[in-house]
Amino acid sequence: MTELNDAFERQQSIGRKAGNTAWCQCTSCDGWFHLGPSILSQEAIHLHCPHCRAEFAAKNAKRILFPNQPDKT
Amino acid sequence: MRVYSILDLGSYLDAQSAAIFRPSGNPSTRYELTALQHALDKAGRYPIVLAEAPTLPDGSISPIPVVNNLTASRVKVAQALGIDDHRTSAAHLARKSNDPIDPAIVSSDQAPVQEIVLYGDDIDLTRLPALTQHRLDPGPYLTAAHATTTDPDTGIDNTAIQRCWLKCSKRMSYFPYPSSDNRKNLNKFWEKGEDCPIALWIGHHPAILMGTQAKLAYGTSHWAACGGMIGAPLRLVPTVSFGEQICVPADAEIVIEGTVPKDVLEADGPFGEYTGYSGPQVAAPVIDVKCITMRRNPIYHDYGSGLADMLVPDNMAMEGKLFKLCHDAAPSVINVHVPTEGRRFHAYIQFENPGPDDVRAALMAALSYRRTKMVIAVDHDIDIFDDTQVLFAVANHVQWSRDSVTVDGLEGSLLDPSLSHAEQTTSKIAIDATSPQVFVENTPSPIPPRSTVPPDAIEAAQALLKRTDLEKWPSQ
Repeated sequence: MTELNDAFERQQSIGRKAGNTAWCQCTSCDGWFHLGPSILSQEAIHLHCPHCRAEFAAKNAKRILFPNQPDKT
Repeated sequence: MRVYSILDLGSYLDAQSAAIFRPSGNPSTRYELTALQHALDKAGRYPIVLAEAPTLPDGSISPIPVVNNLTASRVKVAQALGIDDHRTSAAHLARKSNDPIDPAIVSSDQAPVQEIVLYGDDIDLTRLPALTQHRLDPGPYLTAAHATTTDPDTGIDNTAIQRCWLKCSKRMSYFPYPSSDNRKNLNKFWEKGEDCPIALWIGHHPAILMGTQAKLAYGTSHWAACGGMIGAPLRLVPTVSFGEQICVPADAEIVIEGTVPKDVLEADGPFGEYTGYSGPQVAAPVIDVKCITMRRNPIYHDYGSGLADMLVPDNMAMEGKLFKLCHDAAPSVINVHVPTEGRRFHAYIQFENPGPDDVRAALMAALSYRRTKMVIAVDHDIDIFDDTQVLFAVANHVQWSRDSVTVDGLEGSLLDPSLSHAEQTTSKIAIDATSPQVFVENTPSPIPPRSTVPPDAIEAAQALLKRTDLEKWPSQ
């Protein structure tokens, strides 16, 4: 995903669109769902997977992708 | 048989029977009723949808019917407010929502919404026929719950529609938008070290729903504004849990009373939003339910999020707010339309003989409102309820460097999918698509005349086409 995030950065730097959505991959079912900044800033709050209902801390997510930022895998 | 005395949902539905679609069978509360709304929106048809016996997620049949698409038709919403022509609603709503009438408090025995009171183990939110509307929604949501809180310092009420995810029998998430007035009240309670009392009421006559959606300054009672809208005091009843600290409409269908525990935040969402996109999972407060009250035979109301059902009433309320803002800045403003095609982001402002600075003054006033993102000014001869005419004016009357203004750094919607990651403000544009005013009275406008044909030629053409089957020809 590093290449994709590099692409986001390049696009942003030349004024192109890069998106605004962070995505999380569920630790249990591998399903993807999207997150707002407010929940990622609150480490004590467990994320809830809408696919399988698993609850887990963000730090345990299989992957978290941010636009314009390095992959938090 | 229900007995109706005052405005309520049941009496409204009885009067609208010809405009109601009753789907056969037992449509599921999980996606099926929302899918029906999507199909109706696509077809451009806006009946009220009443599912008498919907199927709950566990396969059982709910004894509580579900109504949605209640407010998908502008024409019907305007009629419910006593307005003959929906195109005139902006000025009407601006006037009525600023003409408050204090509510009337009635006792519990005169409040149909307290015919049944459930406490303790009898409380089970999962028995409500709440809909799971869209893919990625984590479960059933209350979408037409009007959350009422009070300012702990002044006691003044505030009401807003705010979503709640029914997590289990007695707890649900609660998402007041960060800059909302209910969030301000909640924060005040929390800063005092207290849980925030709250009541959520569901189901009422559309006029009441519109009245309580008036866009008001913080510290202004929604009950009084609603009274102004209906021209009579709104009947309220003290809640079972909080007494007169929080009142609710006596003629609502269902009320959920509870508290928002201090500093407790849990995951909420994703949730299909008014933008037409799924909003992200966020950290949100929760509500611990203390009591549920309802009519003996309640009707559950759902708003289709992001569909005409929810956009129409909200946008009409916005039109009232914008009309006042713009008209105060420029009296030559004669009408406002917030088209559902622009979600809540676009507004068309119509002028008649604007003065030299009127258009820019009104456009800036419109941009100052949090929800707008693009505002377009047009003349009185452009139909602001017809996007093709507005685009005609933009195409013909605008030089971008002269007639458009972009303003960055204004408060907008965090749900706007075009914002950059974690961006807190938005970029807005105002477009002056009016034509220049005449320099000398009683002389032609200083732009070319529109291409037209004489009225009698048009009449003759229409008479010819009347005898022809137009359906056989391409529409695109």
